[in-house]
Amino acid sequence: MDYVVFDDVCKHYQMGTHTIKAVDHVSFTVDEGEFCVIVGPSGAGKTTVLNMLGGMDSCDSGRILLGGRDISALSDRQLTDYRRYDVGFVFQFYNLVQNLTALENVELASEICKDPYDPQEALAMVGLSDRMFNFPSELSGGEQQRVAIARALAKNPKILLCDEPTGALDYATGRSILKLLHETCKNTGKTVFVITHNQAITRMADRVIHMRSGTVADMYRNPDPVPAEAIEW
Amino acid sequence: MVASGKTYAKTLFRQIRGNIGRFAAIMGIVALGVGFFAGMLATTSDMHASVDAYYDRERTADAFVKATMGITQEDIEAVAAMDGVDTVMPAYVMDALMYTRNEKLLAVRIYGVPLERLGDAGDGGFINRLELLEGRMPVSDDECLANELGALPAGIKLGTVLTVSPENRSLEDRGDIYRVTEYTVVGIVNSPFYFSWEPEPCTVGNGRLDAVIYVNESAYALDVYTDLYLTVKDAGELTAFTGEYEAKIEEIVERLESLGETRSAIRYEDIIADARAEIEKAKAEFRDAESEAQAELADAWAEIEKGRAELEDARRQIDEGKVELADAKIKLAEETAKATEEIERGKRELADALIEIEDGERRLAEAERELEDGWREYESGHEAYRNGLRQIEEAQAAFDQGEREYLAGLEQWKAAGEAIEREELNLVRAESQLSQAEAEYNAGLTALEGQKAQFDILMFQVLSALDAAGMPFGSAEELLAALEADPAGPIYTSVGAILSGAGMPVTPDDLLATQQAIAYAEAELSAAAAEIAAGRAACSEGRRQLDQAKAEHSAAKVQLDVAGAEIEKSRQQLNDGWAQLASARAMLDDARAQLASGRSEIAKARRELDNGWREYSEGVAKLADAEAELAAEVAKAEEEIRTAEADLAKAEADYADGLRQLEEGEAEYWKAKADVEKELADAWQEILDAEAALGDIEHPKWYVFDRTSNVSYASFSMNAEKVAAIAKVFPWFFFFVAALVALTTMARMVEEERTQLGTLKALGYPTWAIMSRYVVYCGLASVLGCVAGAFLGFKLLPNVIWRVYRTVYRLPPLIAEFRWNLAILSSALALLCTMGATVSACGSALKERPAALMRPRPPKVGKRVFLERISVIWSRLKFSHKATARNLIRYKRNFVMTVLGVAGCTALLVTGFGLRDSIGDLAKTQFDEITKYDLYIGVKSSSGYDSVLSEFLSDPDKVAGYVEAFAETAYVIANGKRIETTVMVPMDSGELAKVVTLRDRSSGKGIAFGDSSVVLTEKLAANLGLRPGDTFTIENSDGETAEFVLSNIAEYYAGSYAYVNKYDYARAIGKYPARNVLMVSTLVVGSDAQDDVMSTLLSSDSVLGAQFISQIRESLDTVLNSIDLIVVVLIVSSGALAAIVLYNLININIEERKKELATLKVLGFHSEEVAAYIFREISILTVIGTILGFGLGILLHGFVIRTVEQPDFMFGRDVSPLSFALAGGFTLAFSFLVQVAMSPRLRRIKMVDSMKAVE
Repeated sequence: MDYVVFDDVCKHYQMGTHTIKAVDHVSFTVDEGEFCVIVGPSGAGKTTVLNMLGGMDSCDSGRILLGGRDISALSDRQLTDYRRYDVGFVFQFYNLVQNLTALENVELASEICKDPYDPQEALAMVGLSDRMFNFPSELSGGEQQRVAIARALAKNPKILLCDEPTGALDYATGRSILKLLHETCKNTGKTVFVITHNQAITRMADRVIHMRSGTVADMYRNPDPVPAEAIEW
Repeated sequence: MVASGKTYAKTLFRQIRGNIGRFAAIMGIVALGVGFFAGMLATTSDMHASVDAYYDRERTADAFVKATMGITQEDIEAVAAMDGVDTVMPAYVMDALMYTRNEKLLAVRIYGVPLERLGDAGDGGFINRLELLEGRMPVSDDECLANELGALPAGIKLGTVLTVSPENRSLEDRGDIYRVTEYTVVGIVNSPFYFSWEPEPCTVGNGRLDAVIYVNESAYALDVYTDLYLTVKDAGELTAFTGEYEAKIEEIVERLESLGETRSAIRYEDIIADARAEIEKAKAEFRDAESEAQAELADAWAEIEKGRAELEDARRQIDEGKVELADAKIKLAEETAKATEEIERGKRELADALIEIEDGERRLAEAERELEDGWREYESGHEAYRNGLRQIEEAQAAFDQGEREYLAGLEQWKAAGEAIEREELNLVRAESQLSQAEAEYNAGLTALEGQKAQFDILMFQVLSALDAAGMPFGSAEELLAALEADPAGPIYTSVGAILSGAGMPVTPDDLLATQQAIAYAEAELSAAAAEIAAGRAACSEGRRQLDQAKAEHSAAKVQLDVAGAEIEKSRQQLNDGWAQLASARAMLDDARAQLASGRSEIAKARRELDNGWREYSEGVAKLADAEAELAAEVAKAEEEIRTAEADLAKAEADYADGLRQLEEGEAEYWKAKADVEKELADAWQEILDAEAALGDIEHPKWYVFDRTSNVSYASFSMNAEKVAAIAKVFPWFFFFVAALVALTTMARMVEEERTQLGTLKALGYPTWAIMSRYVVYCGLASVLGCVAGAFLGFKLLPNVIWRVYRTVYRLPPLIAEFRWNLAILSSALALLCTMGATVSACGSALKERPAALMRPRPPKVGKRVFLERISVIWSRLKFSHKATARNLIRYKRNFVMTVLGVAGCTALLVTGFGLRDSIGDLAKTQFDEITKYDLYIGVKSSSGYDSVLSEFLSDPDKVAGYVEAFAETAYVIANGKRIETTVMVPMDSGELAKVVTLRDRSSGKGIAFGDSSVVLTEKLAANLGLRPGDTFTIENSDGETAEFVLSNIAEYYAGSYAYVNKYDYARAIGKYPARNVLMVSTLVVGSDAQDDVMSTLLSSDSVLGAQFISQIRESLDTVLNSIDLIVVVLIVSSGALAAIVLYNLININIEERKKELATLKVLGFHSEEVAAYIFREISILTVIGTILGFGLGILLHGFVIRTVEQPDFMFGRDVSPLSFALAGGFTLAFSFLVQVAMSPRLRRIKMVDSMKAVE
């Protein structure tokens, strides 16, 4: 049942003589297909958690399991493959390759995967069929983020990690993006993590993890998630 | 920032440390540009300075004077006193042909200089000091120092003895010029005047100086110096080759020239005065000679007059003698005539008598002839008579015989008639007997017939009976045969029985008997018939014979009758004959009597005549006596006359002799007189001519030269300029790339610090203050680059290039100075480039408003590229390829910078390797393909080959083949240019191909050298601007010129030649070329073996000089080795160029796409895939740059080759594929190394960077 497991994970950074405990004995579990929101103020360690979960960073102690696989024990090379095949990533600033069209940005991801979605289908899923030949600079922020989501989805990953996906977007667009993510989660059955400092978003989550100062302050299942349209902030 | 210097410095320092790579890149590219520019420019100056120092050290003449009529002591003093002149040194300088002990003829310049002054360095010092390399200074006049010239030494060593050759055209009397004509080399020296390996022209031999020797002044016999060397005050402080120096010398030269005019005028007056004095002396001498000659002539004339008088006397005496003699002759003639007349009368009488006698004689002879005719008639009549008698007697005898035969015939005829009658009787008898026997036979026959008939009847009966009785027989004969066969047999019995039974009266025996009887009778009858027939035949034969005898008998009777008649007639004729004969006899006797009386008459006449004859002979004898007497007297008189005549003739001859002698004497006198007068006139004329020539005496002239007329100076100066020429082209490229590097780097920096700029601007800093950060940053990098570049460039490049030139000049050590002016110039240029780039990079950013600057710069719009239109290709490309394709177009500055940088790198490498190729090709192509001979022998053209040479040439172990030719140094003139070259005329046009391959370079096609070919080598033709079919002129060493039509241009690298076929040469120049060189293809390998061959050849009397081509090749190899050094420099600098540019590009790309790369990492791209994303672009740019670099390299290589090429040498024009491959390979390798070096930078990119906001 426990698809994603953080078991007593620590991550420390050495800053001169000073040790910063970015993540300090964090443990939580998430079930498959859940829409999980990790919420907390800046410096709470939520991004570090996301990094470790996404295979971009390693933990100093504890274990991280995905579908029973111990990610924390993987080598760099294995981590790269893990990111390549198992993780989809949505950035706050979209991180599209400016020199490639929307479709090509999606292809960029699908090209390196084992069982990808068709890039055009992926773009259709995010509602961008008619803009797929445009360059990022020709798209609005929401559209760019949709492209980014399509790029993440096209890889057909096990989990979708979204780092402040609405952070650079206006309210309405942000809400539509959240809706898209939610729908994606429900329609594809993928486990989705959204990291945010926006408490409002927790209302639409299946599971909420509150973080503070590198520790899990609170973790609970939301028995009654509301649709994105209903959220206001 | 400006306000607080400390903070500012700190920020700057941090900025540099944070961007140390960029800082280094700018520094490096500036260092390269400055290094090359300053270094190459400095090379020219260093070359100048180094040689200048050498010049100063050796107190090299700044100028020198050559005076046509020599330089006097006063001249020297005048020059020495001249303002600006430092030191002077007079010298004797002559070019002469000299031969060595082994008959090698050399063109040598002989300096007669005060060698003893060479040692002291003081003010009385020596100009053009000599550096003694080996040996010692001369201690006597027959010793010398030698300075060998050219790249190919003539083989002068210590101990070599050089003798001034009598062959020198202008030196008819060597003793007039040289006191000593044979010198031994005791020292080898270097002179600052002769440090180039280029040939120094001279006026003797083949026009190229082989060596220079220095001898003591006293070895010369001239009373004035030929040359004056001088140094100019303060010129040593100036650098030779510079305009400043040359201008200073030019000024002195001009003053020297005007001084020369003054001095020449004085010299002229001296010469004229000397000449006038001599003329006056000659006039006095002439006058003395004239009067002496006149006296001698007068004496001679007096003697002639005396001789003439004596001769006239002799003449008179002779004439008198002649008259006397004539009188004597007349008298003699008269007396002789009288006596002769008397004799003639006697002779006439005698002649009459003789006529009478002869008449009588004639008549007597006639009578005798008649008598003899009578006798002869008588004798013939008598003979005829005797003949007639003999004939008649013979006829009588024949008649008698005939009569007797006739009578005997008559008797025989009668006897034959009787015999015929007897025979007839016998025949008649025999015939009657025969007829009786016939009758008897016929009776017997009849009886037998009857008997036979009876028997036949009986037999018929018998047969019938037998038949009836049953015994049939075919015929009677059968029955009879059966019976006879069985006389007592059954048939017999049966027949008998039958017969008896039939009542027949006969028995079988009867039958048989009867038959036998009949047979017997028949036999007898046939015998009788045969006898009768024989008798009948004999009778008829007898009858025929008898009839014939009867006929003959009758015929004989007729003949007998005819004979009888003829006998009677003959008898009558005989009787007539007898009667005639008797009458003839009587006539004969009569004639005989007449003849006898005639004979006695004749005898009487004979006696009378004989008397007449006797009288006549007496008369004749008397006359003969008289005549003899006369003749004796006349002879005596004539003898006397002859004696007188002889005397006269002798006197006459003596006279003629005397006369001739007189005439000869006179002629001699006139001739002598004329001669003397002519001599005198000539002498006078000479004196007049000399007087007239006083005005024609050439005005002496000074020729003033400065160093530019010295080959070494001029050639070195030109080569130093070549370096400067290359310096002016080469480094611009580095500056341009430096500007691009600065531009891209600074643009990137400004971009990165955009927000900061906005903040500063918002805080109120003025634009220039903000900009100054970057300007100072880039400026500092540039300045450091300039310093490093200048130091490196000044040290490295001059040394490398100096080394190369050392292979063609005898050079002193290099003086490499730090040249501030060049350092500042090149640094200023470099700074201008980088600063300009910086300002332009900052300017655009700083124009924006602070608010705009604070906002992240909108990402650059993606651009579609042409390739996207070809969807077949585009759709197959991976995203990273697509991104690369777009990026290449997107960042134009980066593109241009990188491509140019890489192209420059490749171009430098192509140039470097190409230089090796060009010179290597020269050596290889020239000596492996074109020149097929390896030994060049100069031979005496006048004689054949001696045993040493001919043995060598025919040695199959040493010589593979050789070609004879005529070679001379000449000028080729065309299109207003005049270039020295070697004219080569093969003795056999077709043979030339055996030792030299003539071919067209671009097509590689061979040129057949035939009897109408005129071929120039490529460089020569190019320098003259000639193409096949053009006409050009050759001026040979004797100054003879002729025009030729160029037929082909041949590939040739080392040296220049005009190959002319001997027919055209002979026709055009008007002299037949005589072979003087041999081009030999030998099998001799190795320097020891070659040395052996050389010493053998030089011992030959026929050999003037010999040289192995391998020596030229070795000197080319030296050049090649020094080129390698340049190649190393180029490889290093091109590597640096490529590294800087590529580092810069990669750096910018990584910085610019850091987030993109981090994102790719997050997306799970492997590190090699991430690297490929960046490096693919670099690789493509490298390839584009390399290809462009090939083109640039070809241009650069061509420029360098054309610039550094020497007039006589043609470097290869082509860069080999290997060199392109090497250049490309090196470039790619540089690119690869930079990429490898940069890949850690990629690894260091953190994935978390992807989370950051846009800077």
